[in-house]
Amino acid sequence: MRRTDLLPKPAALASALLLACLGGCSTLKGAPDALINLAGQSTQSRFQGKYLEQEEVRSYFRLDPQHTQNLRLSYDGRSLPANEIRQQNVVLIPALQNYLQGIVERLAKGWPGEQPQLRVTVTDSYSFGPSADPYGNLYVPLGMLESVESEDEIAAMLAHEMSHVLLRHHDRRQAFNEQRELLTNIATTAVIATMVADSRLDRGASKWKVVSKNPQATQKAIDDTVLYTSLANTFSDNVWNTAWGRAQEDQADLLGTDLLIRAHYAPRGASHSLQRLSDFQGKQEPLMAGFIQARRSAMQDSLQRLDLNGFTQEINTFVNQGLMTTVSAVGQHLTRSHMSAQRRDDDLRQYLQREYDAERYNRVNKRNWLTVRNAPSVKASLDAYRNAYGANEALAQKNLKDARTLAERALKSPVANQPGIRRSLFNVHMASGDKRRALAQLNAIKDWSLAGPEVYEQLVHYHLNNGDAGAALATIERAERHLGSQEQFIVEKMLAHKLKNNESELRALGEKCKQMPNRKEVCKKLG
Amino acid sequence: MTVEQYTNDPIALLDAEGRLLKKVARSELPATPLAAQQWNDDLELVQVEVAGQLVWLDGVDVRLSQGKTVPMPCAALPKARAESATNLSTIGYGAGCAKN
Repeated sequence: MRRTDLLPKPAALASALLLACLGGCSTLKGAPDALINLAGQSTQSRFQGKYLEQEEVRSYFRLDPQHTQNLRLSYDGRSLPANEIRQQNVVLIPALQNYLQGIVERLAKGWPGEQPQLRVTVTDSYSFGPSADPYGNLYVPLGMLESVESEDEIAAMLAHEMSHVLLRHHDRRQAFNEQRELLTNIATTAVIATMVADSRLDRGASKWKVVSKNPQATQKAIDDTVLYTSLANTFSDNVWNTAWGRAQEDQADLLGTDLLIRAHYAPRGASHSLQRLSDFQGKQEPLMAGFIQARRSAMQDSLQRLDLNGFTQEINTFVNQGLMTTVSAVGQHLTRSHMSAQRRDDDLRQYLQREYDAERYNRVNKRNWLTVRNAPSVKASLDAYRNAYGANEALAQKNLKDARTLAERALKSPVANQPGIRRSLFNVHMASGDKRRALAQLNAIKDWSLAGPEVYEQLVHYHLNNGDAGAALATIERAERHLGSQEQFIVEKMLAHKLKNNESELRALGEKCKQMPNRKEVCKKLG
Repeated sequence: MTVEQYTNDPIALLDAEGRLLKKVARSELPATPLAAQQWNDDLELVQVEVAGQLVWLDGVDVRLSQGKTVPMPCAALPKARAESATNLSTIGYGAGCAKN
C-alpha cells in the first residue's frame, strides 16, 4: 500500500484556481493579437512645424482636474487594481535619485502647459527601457543606467516617458496592460501548475483533500517553483517595456525631442537610446524563449515524477500550450519591436533635419553622468545590485557556488538591506534547501515600502506552504499598505483564512473579491 | 565598420574636427554599404572616401553597421560559462554569456 500524506489546504484551493484558469485564460488566448502593432504613415510626416506647437498637443496644456481625480487612490489607499501597481522593487540611492529628478525638472521647464507631478524612481530591473505610470511616476530600471553613456541620453529617455504622461497616453493603455498580464500571469501559473502536478485531488469524504504519494518530492517541487517564479519575475519584465502602440510612441518621441532641445540637451542622445533599444530587443528574444523553454522542461520533469491521474494530464496539456503560446507571442512582439526602434530612429532623424537642423549636430556631454556614476556611494550601490543580479543568473544556471559568492558580496554595500539584495540571498538559500536562513534574509529587509509584489509573494507563499496563516496574513497586510492594492493578494488572503478555518472572513473576502476586476473570475470559482 | 545608409538628405561633409565643408545631395554620394576608413568616437565622426577624397560624416546623418549597444546580462542563454567560473572578477553582469 502506498503511503499518502495530506498537503496543506492552500494547494487544494490553488488547484481550484487553476481549474478556473482552464475555463478561460483569455490573456493567453488573445496574447498574439494583443501584441500586434499598427503600421502606416509616420506621425511626423502628417504635420508641419514643431510638434509642441500643434493643436493636438496644445489641448493637453491644461490639466484636467476631473482626470486627476479619477487617477487618485481611494481614501483607504488600497484600491489600486492589481494590474496597475508597481511591479519591481524600488532601489534607493539618494545621490542618483536627486540627479535624475534634476534632469526631469530641467526638461519640465520646456513644457508650456500646467505641470503634473513627475517623480523619478529607480527600479530593481535589468530591463533597458524606462516606463511611466498614469500617476506621473517615471521608472528608471538599473539596466538602463548600466547602458547609457551621457546625460543627454538619459534626458532623451526621460523626456520620452514624461511625454507619455503629458499626452495622457495611459488613457489608452489597454494593450499595455494585456501584455504585462501575459507575462506576470505565466509566473503565477507556474506555481499553481506545479502544486497541482505533484498532487492528486480526492473528492471523496473531504471536498478538497489533496494527497501526495511523495511529500518530500512535492515540497521540493514547491520550493523549486517558488525559486523559478522568482527568477521568472526577475527576467520577464525585460520584455514588456515597449508596449505602446505606434502612434503613442511616435508622439512621445516628437514631444520628447522638443523638450530635450528646449532644455539644451543634444538630440542625438535620443538616437543613441533608440539604437540601444534595437540592440536590446534583438538580444531579448533568444533569452526569453530559452528561459521559458528551460522552465517548461523543469515543469515537465515534475509532472513525470509522480503517477498522476487524467486530471493532471489535462493540466500538462494546458501548461505546454500556454507556454508555447507565450514563446510565440514574445517572439512576434520582439521581432516587430526590433524593426520598430530603427524605424523610430529614422523618423526622428527626419524630424530633426526638418525642424532642428543646427541643434541636431550638438555633441553629448559624457562627463556629468560619469561623475555621478563613479561617486563612491552610487558606485558601491550599483555594484551591489549587479552582483545580486549575477547571483540570480548563476542560480538560473544551477551554479550555486558563484551565486552564493555574488549574493554575499552584495551585502557589503549601502543598499544591503534593500529588497532586491535580500531577495537574491533568499533565492540562494532556498536553492540550497536552507529555508530557515532563506526566511532570515527576507526578515532583514529594512524598508518594506521599497518591495515589489514578487518579494511579498515569496514571503506570503513561504508562510502558506508552511501552514503559518498568521504570518501570511501579517505579510499581506503589509503588502496592502505599501502597494496600495487589496486585489493583489486577495486570493492568498482567502487561502490563509481557509487555513485558519475562519469561514465568516472567507465569505466576506469572497464577496469583496467578486468586485475586483483582475481576480473576480477566480473568486467566483472559489466561492 | 561600414556606412549602411544615409538617413538624411542632403548630407554634411565635414573636416576632422567636425567643421562643415559643404552639403551634398544623397544622390551624389557613393552607394552603400560604404567602407569606413576611421571612426572618431568622441566626435561621432566616420571617415569615408567620396570622389577620391577622404571626408568625415557625422553619425547623425548615417546609419553604421555598428550602433550603440546594451551590455546585456546573458542569463538563460544557451549555456557557455564564463572563461573562469572561479574568477569572480569576471562574473556578475554578463556571467555565462556566449563568447562572440
